[in-house]
Amino acid sequence: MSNQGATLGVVGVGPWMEMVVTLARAAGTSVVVWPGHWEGHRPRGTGVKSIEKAIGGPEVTVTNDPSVLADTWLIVVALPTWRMRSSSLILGNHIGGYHRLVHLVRGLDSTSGLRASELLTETTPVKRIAALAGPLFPGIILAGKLGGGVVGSKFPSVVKEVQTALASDRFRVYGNRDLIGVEIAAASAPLIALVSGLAAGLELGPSVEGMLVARGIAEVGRLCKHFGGQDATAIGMAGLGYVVAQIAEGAGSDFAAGVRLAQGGKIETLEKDLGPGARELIVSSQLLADKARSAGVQAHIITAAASVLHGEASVREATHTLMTLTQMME
Amino acid sequence: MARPRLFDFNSERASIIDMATDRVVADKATLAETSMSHGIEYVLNEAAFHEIERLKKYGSDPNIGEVGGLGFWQSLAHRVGSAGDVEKTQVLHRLAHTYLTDLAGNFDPRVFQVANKVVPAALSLLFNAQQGSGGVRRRFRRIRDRVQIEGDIEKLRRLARIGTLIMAPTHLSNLDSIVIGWALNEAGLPPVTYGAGKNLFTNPLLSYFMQNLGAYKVDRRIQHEVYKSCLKAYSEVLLERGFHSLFFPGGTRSRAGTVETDLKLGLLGTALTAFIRSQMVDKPRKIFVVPVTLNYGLVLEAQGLIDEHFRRVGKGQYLIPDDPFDSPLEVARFAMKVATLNTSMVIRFGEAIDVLGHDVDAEGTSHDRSGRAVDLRPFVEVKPGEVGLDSARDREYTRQTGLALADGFVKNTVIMPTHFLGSVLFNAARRNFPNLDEVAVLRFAHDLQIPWDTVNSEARKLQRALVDLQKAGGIRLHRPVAESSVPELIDEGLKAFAMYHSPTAAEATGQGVRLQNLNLLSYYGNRLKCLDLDPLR
Repeated sequence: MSNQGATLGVVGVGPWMEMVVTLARAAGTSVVVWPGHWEGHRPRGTGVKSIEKAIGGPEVTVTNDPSVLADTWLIVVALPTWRMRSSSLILGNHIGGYHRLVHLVRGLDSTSGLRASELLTETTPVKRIAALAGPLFPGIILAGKLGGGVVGSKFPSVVKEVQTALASDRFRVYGNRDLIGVEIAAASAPLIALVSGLAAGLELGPSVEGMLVARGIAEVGRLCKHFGGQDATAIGMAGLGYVVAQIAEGAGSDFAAGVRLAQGGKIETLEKDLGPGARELIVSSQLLADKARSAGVQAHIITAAASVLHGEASVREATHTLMTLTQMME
Repeated sequence: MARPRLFDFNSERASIIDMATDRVVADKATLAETSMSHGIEYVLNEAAFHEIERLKKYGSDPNIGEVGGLGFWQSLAHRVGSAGDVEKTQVLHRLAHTYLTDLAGNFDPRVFQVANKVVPAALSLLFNAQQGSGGVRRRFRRIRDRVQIEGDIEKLRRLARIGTLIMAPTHLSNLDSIVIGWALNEAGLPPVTYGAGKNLFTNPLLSYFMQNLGAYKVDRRIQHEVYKSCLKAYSEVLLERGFHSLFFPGGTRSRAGTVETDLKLGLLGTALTAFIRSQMVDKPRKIFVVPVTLNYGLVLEAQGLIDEHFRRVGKGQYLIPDDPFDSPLEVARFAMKVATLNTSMVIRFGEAIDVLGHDVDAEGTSHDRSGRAVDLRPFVEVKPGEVGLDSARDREYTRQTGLALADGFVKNTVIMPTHFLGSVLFNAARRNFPNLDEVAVLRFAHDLQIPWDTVNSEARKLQRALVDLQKAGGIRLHRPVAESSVPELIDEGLKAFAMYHSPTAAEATGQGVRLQNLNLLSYYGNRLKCLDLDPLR
């Protein structure tokens, strides 16, 4: 499939940005990359030359000038939550009502508790926003393997545009009109994967692991509905699809974090061991658990995950709490 | 004020009807080209089906009138399947034109001038009867004392000169039309055209004014697509031509007394469509939506409305009393009673937003949430540089504008002493029965006495929470609610309830407050439900 003539903007650095560039290339889409803004010191390897070296090619332009993105009407924001606000405020000065933004965030903003689409609405003039989520693993895509994801947006045309820009015979992009549900599922499914990792690390066996996935996805569904999305989105790509992929062959970083913690690993070294995704996991867990509690939404597994990640309960204590809950209906 | 745009309505009435008719036919023809199942024969057949069902079930109402009788619709239903394309289009054209002619309003500037003198004068005579004699000017000031108008009026006057205003008020009472009409004139804002149920045109009190002050007649019995398209097309054409408008986004009076949060988006969507169409013909028109809250200390129809609400919710055996609005004597009794209150109501004009929900400044420039000036045109381009309609996109934009409007309703709601006390007392009743739902509490809490300690303590907590919320910009408080002592505030609320409602909602005793009408307490207390201050959570 060729998408000749269209150019995709990408904001970000690192494996997620490289994954998007790889997908766009396979779909025949040209790309302009802006690394984004850093508060304070800019890390090594994020300069234009380093990025060009990592992903360079005739279809890819790398620039430090965000105004160049004004000419690309579809822009993927491949940034974690803690970099999103400052970068999108700058980006917002150069784009307008015709532009579309797609984010890859799997958590909530630590300062405001907002979903990424809400953050982008606050910081940019753009209204047509989408979330790309699901079983996305940069390592797998960069290794040339097949994959898939889901793009959630309230604007059907944006779903189609993202599918055109990124889908190919190597990567499928499903659409979903439930933006809120995709975002909440993407934020909470990692916690279910984490708890599955805890169970695997403690060698609790397949019955417990199956129970955690099934009941965990039910909690994700309840949270989706509470935030204004649809509970069915939890069993889609952003929810169940993500959890299954995390557990498969122990491949996912969230699952691995759980295993590590269960086997005596420290929360303090999780980010160092597993990358910046762990930080997002820790921050989002408390935000989601707090929101569930204040709204009266039953989310025992997510709350247990948050308590472990914040050192409020040991892995065994959290397991005991879950196994001694009042018996209830599914 | 410059010559109001609405003064030109009658000279443009025929062309407005023609333009709206052509639009309905063109839109249906375009839709028919996209899919066989949207053919004009199906559109006509759907109309005939609905009208035949309605007329068979309910018959026709001679007071309201019919565009076509049962025979007309049955004949149409039989013909439409075999008619040729030209005939079908002609039938659709005639039908749309007939509907639009029926619904289109009329505006007589002389009646407008009379109304501007009569309404305040009528109210001032009532006040004068209560307060003693005084000059004409003093009588007008007394109305103004009792009906407070708030908001950045000067900015709205500027925006009315720059573009087209859509007033979007909350809706509690059938008096709202009179009240808002008076408020617009009092504030130096232009008169508006608005849709009103056809049944109101038969009301002896209102019909003369409504027939001649720009109101258009909406037949709420008709639910088929052709009629709805006519209503939308009419609203669009009015807005495109710069006629300031009004519609109630809640659709109907709030039965439970709550602030509208779940808005009907059909007419709101016409604002965006009008904007896009004006861009498409290179005659860009700015359109501004203004949230307006009508905050009554007492509501004429409160008892009947809340009874209807609980009948629907509880499916109980409520006997709905007659709507007091149908009785001019009852309306007069209400007016005289509320006139003796220190402040009867507050009308608050909120900050205007544009058709995409952005804030606008005094120059009519839209701003995003980071304060950047934004050009609206790119939002509605289907290709770079080319503006066009996109139903899925526009539906989502309108939904977002609806959220901004609902947010404006909450922020501009003014809490009156009756709302405050209703909330305190009804929640105190619920606390006595924590395992019962609201409908059950109505039965079991009747005649319950809440001790003074409890009433005062809960009132103090609520007052503190509301004052904090007002400081954060989340609500507005009528001055006594913010500044009076709790005993004074409770006393004011109890007096207000006793002023009009019989039996009163609650009564002070030596030991506390006896709850006599839980329905009314719920109705008035529900005004705070939008604030998520539920003390039982």
